Amino acid sequence: MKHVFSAALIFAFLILSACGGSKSNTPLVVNQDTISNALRLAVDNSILVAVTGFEAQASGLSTKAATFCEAPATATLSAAQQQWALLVEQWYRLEAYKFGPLDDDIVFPAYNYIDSYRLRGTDYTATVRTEIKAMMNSSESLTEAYFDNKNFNQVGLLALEVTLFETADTQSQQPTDILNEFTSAPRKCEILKGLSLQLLKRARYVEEGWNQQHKNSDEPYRELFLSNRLDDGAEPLTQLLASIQEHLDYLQQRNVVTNTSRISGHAWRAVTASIDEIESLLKGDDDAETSFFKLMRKSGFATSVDTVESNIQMARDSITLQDPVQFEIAVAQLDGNFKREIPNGLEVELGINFTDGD
Amino acid sequence: MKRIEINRRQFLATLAAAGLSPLCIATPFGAGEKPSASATEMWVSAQGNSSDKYSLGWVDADARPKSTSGRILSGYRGHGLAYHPTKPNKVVMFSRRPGRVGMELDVLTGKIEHRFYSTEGRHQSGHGCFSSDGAVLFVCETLSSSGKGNISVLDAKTYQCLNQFDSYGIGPHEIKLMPDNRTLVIANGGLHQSPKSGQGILNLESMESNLSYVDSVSGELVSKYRVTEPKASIRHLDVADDGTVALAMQVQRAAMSSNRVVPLGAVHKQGKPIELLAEPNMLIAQMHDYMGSVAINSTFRIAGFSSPRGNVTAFWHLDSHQLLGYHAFHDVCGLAVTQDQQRFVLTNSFGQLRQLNAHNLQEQVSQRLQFPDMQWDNHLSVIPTRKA
Repeated sequence: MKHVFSAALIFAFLILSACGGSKSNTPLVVNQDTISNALRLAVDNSILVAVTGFEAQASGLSTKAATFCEAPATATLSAAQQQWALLVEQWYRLEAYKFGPLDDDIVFPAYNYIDSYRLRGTDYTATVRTEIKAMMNSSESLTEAYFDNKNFNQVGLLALEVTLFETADTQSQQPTDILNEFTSAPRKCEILKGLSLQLLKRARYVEEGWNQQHKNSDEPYRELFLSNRLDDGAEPLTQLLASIQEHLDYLQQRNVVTNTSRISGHAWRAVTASIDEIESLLKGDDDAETSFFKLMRKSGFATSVDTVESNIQMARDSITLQDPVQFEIAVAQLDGNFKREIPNGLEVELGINFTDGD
Repeated sequence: MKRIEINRRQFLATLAAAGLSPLCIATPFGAGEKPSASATEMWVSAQGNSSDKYSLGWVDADARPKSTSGRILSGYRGHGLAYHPTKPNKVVMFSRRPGRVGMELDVLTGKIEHRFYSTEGRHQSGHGCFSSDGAVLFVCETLSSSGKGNISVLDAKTYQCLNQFDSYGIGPHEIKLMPDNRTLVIANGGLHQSPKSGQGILNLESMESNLSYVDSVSGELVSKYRVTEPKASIRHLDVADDGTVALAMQVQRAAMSSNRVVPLGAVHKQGKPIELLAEPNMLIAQMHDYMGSVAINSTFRIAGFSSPRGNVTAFWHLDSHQLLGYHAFHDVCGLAVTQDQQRFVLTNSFGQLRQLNAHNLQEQVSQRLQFPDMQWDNHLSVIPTRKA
């Protein structure tokens, strides 16, 4: 009986194969190899692009700050401000990958020095304003070492925003007022250049960690990540999915669209970059042999992919309308997708949920 | 490493031979699958991430040539453990809330000796402890309707309830016996959680956590202490040889209007106020309001605290309250001290196990163990074992 059943199965398979035809219809099994392949493509085509892109934009700001300080003018100020905006967008791409060199020190993680709001959603604008005024009025030499010793909440994107987009005395956002202050108070340019250099150093640290040498190892983080040799024992795909899920949780829980980039009014562009990044990571390149979405679709999770895509579109619609409530709903749903649909589709174990009270 | 597990057929055959159904008992070990006879201690923990896998998992790190591990299916999600002080190799695993069942088993034979159940209308809080003479077991329970804490006193031979008394708070969680062998110290978390799911918190606004010292004979309150932050829930504790208690807390941020960092670890000596381990602020912030387990090394006067949300375990000195070190470990929660006090042992939900030298808190990287089919749950215990 058993042999008859087996023969029937083989026959049915042959018939179905003959009817189905092409290789692309063959179910793609989620296994170690296919996951590793998709992960490698995600690292090389998304994460490393975000890492190097952030370093390039940070370098660009350092250059534009120097150019502005050499020839203060409305045009050079505007160029520096626009460069800051590009840097923030790139940050919101990179921030979804908050692990590895960006978060390799429990007490002094690099990400904290880039975006002080990220840790606990605390708005340090008042602290930064006080600090910039104090630096402008002080006689202390504004050396690189001086900025090296600054607290995390006195440097980074917020400090640069406050420096570039308003005056220290009246908080005027008029370009002519800002320009006049830079011209009349040369120390403010030293502050701008010092803060820019600090951020560039963090960006370089992250870039070098991913591409050259991570902490005390002799290898780039890319190699450690892809070969599943992470210091803290995390599985790479688990680490990646958990990081994006945390990022989405952060975007909604901390009301990022209403509480950040308040002076420059740049928050919506920033979160757009985040959504772009996440979609790009999941979809991969159209020409690529595989991606997380392709893997899920081919292994029977097409409905889950549709759900995720629908939520991404909902987030985009809310951005177009600049509707914070709808944005938070959409992002919360995406957050849920990274806890359920995507891990299920990729057969990833996220670990036990150690919830409150246990 | 070697993992030992009997297959389904063996399991069912064993159950049939014992006249038991799969629902009411789990697997003993098969022949030749026992932990090493030379084991002097075993590391045990509730484990599993689904109802068909919930079990007590064990590691015999002293086995040669490789460490061995195995599991004993429980049929319920376990939480904390207590080892019997006079019955060698016997350990009790309590239910994670809102479960009502606990079991005593022999870690060397894998035999489940007893199952016991909390009275209808109560659920176990996940922890309990034996009296020093091993005569009775104190089980931390919560009255499902009100959240009121109850300590059931069970006969440690028959597991019949002999007595019960107040925990002197809402939502008790961990309980330990003090070195005087008479006083119990109880972490009353203050949370009244939904009796059905055990998750939703019903009294966030009015919650009040405390640390209570209770006479284990009379059931009378000896003393009660609170922390200054009312939304900090004292959940876990450990006791040093000299009676110093280390507390691990979880902050109910949803009930707070402030975003300030709240200390999660504390140290207490009876008769004195609770002292918070408040620094370094940045490290505590990274723990995201959640410490999951605490273990004291009395020899070195070190208290270790794990934070699965922060992916870190941190260590403070019990007397100076200075941070001594920390170790990044993904999803870490299980934390214990070896019998010889020379190592801290850490586990995570991915089946990984790490050991830190207690002298310098450096990881012994070569001693890493991984059990791919294990998902270590919140708590790890070191159980002394004795040859037959």
